[in-house]
Amino acid sequence: MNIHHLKFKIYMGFLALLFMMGIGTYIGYKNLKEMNMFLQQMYGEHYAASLFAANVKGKISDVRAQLVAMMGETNKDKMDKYNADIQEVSKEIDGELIQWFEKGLEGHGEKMNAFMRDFKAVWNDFRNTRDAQIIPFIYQNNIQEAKDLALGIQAERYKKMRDIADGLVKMEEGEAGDLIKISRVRFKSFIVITFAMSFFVVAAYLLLSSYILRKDFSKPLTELTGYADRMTGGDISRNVDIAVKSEIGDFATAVNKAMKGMRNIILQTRELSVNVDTAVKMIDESASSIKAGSNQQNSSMKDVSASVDGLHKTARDIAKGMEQILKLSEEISSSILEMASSIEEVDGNVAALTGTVGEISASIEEIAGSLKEVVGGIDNVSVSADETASSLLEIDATAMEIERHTMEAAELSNEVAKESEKGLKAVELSHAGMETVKESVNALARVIDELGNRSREIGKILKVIDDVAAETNLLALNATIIAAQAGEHGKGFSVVADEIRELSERTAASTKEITIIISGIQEQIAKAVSSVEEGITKVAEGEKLSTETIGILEGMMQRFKTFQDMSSKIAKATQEQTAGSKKVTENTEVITKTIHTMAKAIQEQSQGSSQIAQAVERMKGLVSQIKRATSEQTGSSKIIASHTEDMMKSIQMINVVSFEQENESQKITDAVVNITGIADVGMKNAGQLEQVVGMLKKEVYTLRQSMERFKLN
Amino acid sequence: MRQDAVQTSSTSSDSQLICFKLGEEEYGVHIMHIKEVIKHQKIMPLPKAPSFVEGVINLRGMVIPIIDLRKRFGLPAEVNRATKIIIVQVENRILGLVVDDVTDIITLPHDSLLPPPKMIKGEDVEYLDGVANISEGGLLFILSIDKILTAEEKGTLSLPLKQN
Repeated sequence: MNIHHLKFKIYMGFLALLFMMGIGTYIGYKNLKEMNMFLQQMYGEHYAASLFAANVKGKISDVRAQLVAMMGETNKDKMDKYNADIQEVSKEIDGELIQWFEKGLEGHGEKMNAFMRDFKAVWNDFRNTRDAQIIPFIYQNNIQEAKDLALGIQAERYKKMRDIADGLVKMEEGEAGDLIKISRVRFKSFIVITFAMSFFVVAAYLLLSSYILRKDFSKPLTELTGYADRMTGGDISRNVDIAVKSEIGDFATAVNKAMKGMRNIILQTRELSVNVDTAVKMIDESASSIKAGSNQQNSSMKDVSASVDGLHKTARDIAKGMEQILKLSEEISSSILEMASSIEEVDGNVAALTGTVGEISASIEEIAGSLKEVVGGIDNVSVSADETASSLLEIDATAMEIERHTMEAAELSNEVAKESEKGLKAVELSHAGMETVKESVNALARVIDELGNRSREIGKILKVIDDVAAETNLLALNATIIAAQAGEHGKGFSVVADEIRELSERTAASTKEITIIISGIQEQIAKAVSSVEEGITKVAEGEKLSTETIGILEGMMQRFKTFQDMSSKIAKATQEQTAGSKKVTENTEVITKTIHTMAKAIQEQSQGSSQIAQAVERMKGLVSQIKRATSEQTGSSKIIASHTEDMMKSIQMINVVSFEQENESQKITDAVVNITGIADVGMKNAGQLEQVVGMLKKEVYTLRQSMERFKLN
Repeated sequence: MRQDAVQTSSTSSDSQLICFKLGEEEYGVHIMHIKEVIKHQKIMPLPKAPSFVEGVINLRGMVIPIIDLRKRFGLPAEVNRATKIIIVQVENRILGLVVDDVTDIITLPHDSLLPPPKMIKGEDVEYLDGVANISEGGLLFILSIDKILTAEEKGTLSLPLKQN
């Protein structure tokens, strides 16, 4: 066990306390024992003295009495007997004295010994005078002498001896009183000493322990608390400064060790957090640049997509245009071929040339006409597109109207729902009223039922009365019979019996009437019961109806709610439709524009064809020249035909190329769509990255702040 | 009461009659033959009794044979609340007669009794002492208690069951 630890100190202090208290107790015990012995001795002495005094006093008076008796005696034998008794008692007194002196004079106080010596001297004188003078005088029958001696000097001695004995007792008592006083003082001093000692021991113990507690615990604990407060504030730069070697000291050493470890960790963490912060900043920057990039990418991708879409569309339009042109060129080509053949024919038959040229001219005019028709057709298409656009606008307007109507309907249904709620409340109120009516009717039914019971009871009582009347009637009848058989003597009684009979008959008649009335009442009650029952049924029906009404109203309200939901859905759908139709309108506009562009192109072509026609006109004018140059022209026309074919081939190639271009643009569109999707994903990721980086930044900032709070130096 | 209608002054020649009903008819019996009128009570069938005896009842310790007059007068047996038993004395024999109801006691002057009509001679008629005119044109058949039982029947009941 560590001698610096509190536990050890407490144990040691406790042992010391126990030891001191043991010593105190031992001293007290010794003192008390001594005092007890002293008191016992004192008591014994006092007892012996008083016993002695009493004995001796008694014996002296005995001796004296015997002597007086002896003086009055004349018979010698009796005198001898008295004398023997006196001698015996005297010997006893001597024995007492010897016993006293044998005990030793040291045991008693000097005063007492003086008393005893006085007593012994007087006693010896007394005995000598008696034995030497008085008793011989008595034997010589000289009573007078004996009496003189006895009443004179002997009486004085007797009195002296008694006084000495009394004085002994008194002195003994006085001494005992002194001793008690002394012992009391001793006892008091003993208590005071014991208390003082205990007090000093306890005080010393407390002082010592408080000193130890303050030094080893209170101060270090205060120090530790201060340290903990500093630690809470983040200051862990210093060690705990506690020099004591108690448990607290051990604890402080452990804390210092832990703090050292912690400081290291915090230093590392701080460095790390700075690094992390830098890294996060870098990440953040790159993330925002990624985001910006992806944003840009996204928007540019959208632009690209739109452009590609436009491109695609235009390419398709061109393809379509090219197809038409191709068709036309084919026609042209065939016409040119025809022309070529015609020229060949001209070559064969120059005379028919002019007509043929006219035909060519007409054909060309036809071409122009058909081109015009094409233009007209395109115009028609344009008109149709415009119409479509306007129809779409109308649809749009209609949709808006639908939306408006739906809203109105929703409002109306809302009002209706409110009204039906009011109705529901009213019906519920009437339902409650029905309940009240039902209760009242039930109460009425109970009352009527009670009435029926009462009337039945009355019926029972009436039956009893009827029975009594019948019985009375019978008795009266029998009385009449007996009176009649009694002859003349029964006449008077017969009259009375007749009266009784009559009375009983009247009673019977009355009860019959009452019975009829009661049965009438009962019938009425039955009717009332049935009508009340009917009322109950009616009330129940009413209740059922009102319950049904409540159900219907609730169903209605439910349906109104559904209607509201649906109308809001319709409103939403209509809005979507409006948005969709706007898009359609926009697309239609694009179509219209394209068509217009195409129309322009075709018009240009048409102009070209009229130029061709003019050329043909000029050709007509040149027929005569042609006539001459036919042979040359035949070759030329062949060349033209071949050129035309080349042109067609070129057109076809263009067509193929435009088709390919369309395909390519389709692919581009797809690719762009893909890229857009990827860019969207990238953008999303960039957003997430930004969020994560933001969170990371926050965390790092918090960490750094936490770390900065620690003061290490 | 019908007593008001008949002559109520009662002389030695007057006779008092107990009136009772059997079916629709009303009969009278001379009061001196009658011991007592009691309510109908349960009649104990008597083994091996003569067929005209319905059974016996116990009236205050006296066993009394009962004859149902309805049966005797050829009416279907019927018992209701009004049904009574008239205890009569016939030549030292005590008998009980079951009747529908005892309606009245009347006093008739002796001269208002008429002999039974000759044309209704028969078994029934033999029971009758006579006929009395009563008010409201009604007729009262006066029953002869002595003739209710035939001689043979009397023989079977020759021993009075108990004398009071």
